[in-house]
This record gives sequence, C-alpha cells and structure tokens, in this order.
Amino acid sequence: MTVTTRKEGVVVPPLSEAVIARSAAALRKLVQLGDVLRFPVLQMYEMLWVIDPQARFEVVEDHLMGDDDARTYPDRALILLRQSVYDGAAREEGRARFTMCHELGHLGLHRGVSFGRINPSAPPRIFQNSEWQADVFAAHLMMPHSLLSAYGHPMAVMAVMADFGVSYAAAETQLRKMKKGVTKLAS
Amino acid sequence: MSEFGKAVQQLRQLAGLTLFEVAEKMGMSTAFLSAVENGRKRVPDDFVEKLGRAVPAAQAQSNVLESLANQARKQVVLPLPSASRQDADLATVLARKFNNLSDEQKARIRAILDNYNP
Repeated sequence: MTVTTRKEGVVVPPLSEAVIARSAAALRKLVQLGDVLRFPVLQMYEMLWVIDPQARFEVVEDHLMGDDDARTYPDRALILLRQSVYDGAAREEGRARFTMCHELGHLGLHRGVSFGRINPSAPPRIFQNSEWQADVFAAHLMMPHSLLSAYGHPMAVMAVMADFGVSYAAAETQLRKMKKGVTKLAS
Repeated sequence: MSEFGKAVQQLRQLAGLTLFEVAEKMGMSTAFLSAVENGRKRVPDDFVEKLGRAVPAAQAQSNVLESLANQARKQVVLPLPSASRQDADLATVLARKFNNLSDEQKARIRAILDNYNP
C-alpha cells in the first residue's frame, strides 16, 4: 500500500486532532527538540529509526516520481522524496519542509494500519482521511501550540513563517486554528 | 541496501552530516548519492575518494570502503516500489536462480527477451 501525498487520501481509522498533536509533541520530545522553533526536518530524516527501527528514506530523481512530491509506504517504513522537494527543504522552502513532515505523519500514524478506498456515495469524516491526519501531524510538528501561543498579534503570520520555516498557507491555517482554540486542546 | 551503502550512511550520520551536505561536498545530486547509498546506482570509481574529502572519518576507512564498494559493484539492486509481497518474493527467487543458470540458458533467455522487446 502506498500513500501518495496531496491526493484524495484513503480511509484510515479515525484520529482526533488532539491525539495527532500529542504524537507530534512526543516526537519532538523524543529528539529533544521541544523548544526549537524551526523544526530541523533534514536532521530528523537522518534519524528516522527513532520513529521506527526499519524506517528509511530515499531521494529520487524528479522524473521518476511522476506528479508526486513524495510517497510513503507505511508497510515497509519507506519514504520516497522527489529530489526537488528534499533539496527545497534543504534550502528552507516552507512548503517542501511541510511535505517532509507530512510524510513523517504517514510513517508515524499509518504504519500497520489498514487502508480503505473512499466510497464517494458515503464519504468518510475528515478525521478518517489519511491526508488530513498527515497534514495535521505536520502542522503540529512544525508549529506546536506551546510555541505558537506567543504569536497572537495581528502581524503574526509573517513572524510565524520566518521563525518556524513554514509557508504562508501553513502559518495562516495554524494561527486560525489557534484562535479557535483547536490547537490548545491538543497540548 | 548494500553493506557499502550502510557503511557510507553510517559514516555520514556519525559525522552529523545530512545527505544534502555530503552530496553538495561530493559534487553530486542528492538523488544520486541516495541511489548509491541504497544500491540503486553503480558506485562510481572515484566515490570513496570523494567521500573522504566530504567526510574526513571515511579516509581512515578507505581500504575497507573500497573493498565494500567492489562488492557492491558486483550486485544489482532491483527497485520494486509498487510490488506486492508476492512480486518481491518472486524477484528474489528469480535472482537466486540466476546464479545457477548456464551460459546457454542465459543466452536463450536473452534471445527471447530481445525478440519480445525489439
């Protein structure tokens, strides 16, 4: 089973935002990066064994990846990254960094999980969607509530982008969730 | 992953260097270095020498690394990203059989494949 990033996703057992945020926080704590604003994603990939002893990643030439930025094979604990994504993350591009964290979500949350195809006539709830879960994991890994809560001011989006190394879209979404109190319940 | 690939990765990680940093120092793409580490590409002849410049700890081990590199050059790694468990098992069985084929048998297989895929 392959999980391909940024497609429709597959049905997985439901996980709440709080549970996902807690596992992201646990990973940060495990690698002793609880207080670090800019999550060092390339370094994290050099120690994937922290998440799973079998886990590894490969960087693959763009033309071999089709339209996919990345692919995770949870059953084999393998992450494939498009070269432009890995190199982009190395150059601190927020979106590429997010993609790499999103794949960590698949690795951490979807190992040994059984997948179902989405039935269009009975669409699953959002918290059963593998892509939603991996996105939420990435957002909390990169912007945990404990660190984000200092960014309540109106111009916070730019500051969050710069300090946490995330895209405008990711910063804006997570700040909006924080204002609604969604991120707090998770901490 | 070959023994050689494992050794390279370990030296790199013990030096605290990412794939990106070492690829840059060795003057190759991250995809290429990753492919060599994972046995998807043949180890270039000057690889160990370049590695020694990027990861100083590799210099002391260059003899071991060269011999592992030679071993790795005699292997072929077949990536099967979307293979089922059964497909992967089949490939393993075929690979094992390959070593026992006679030259005549190999020539017959080759002829059929070349004919099938001209």
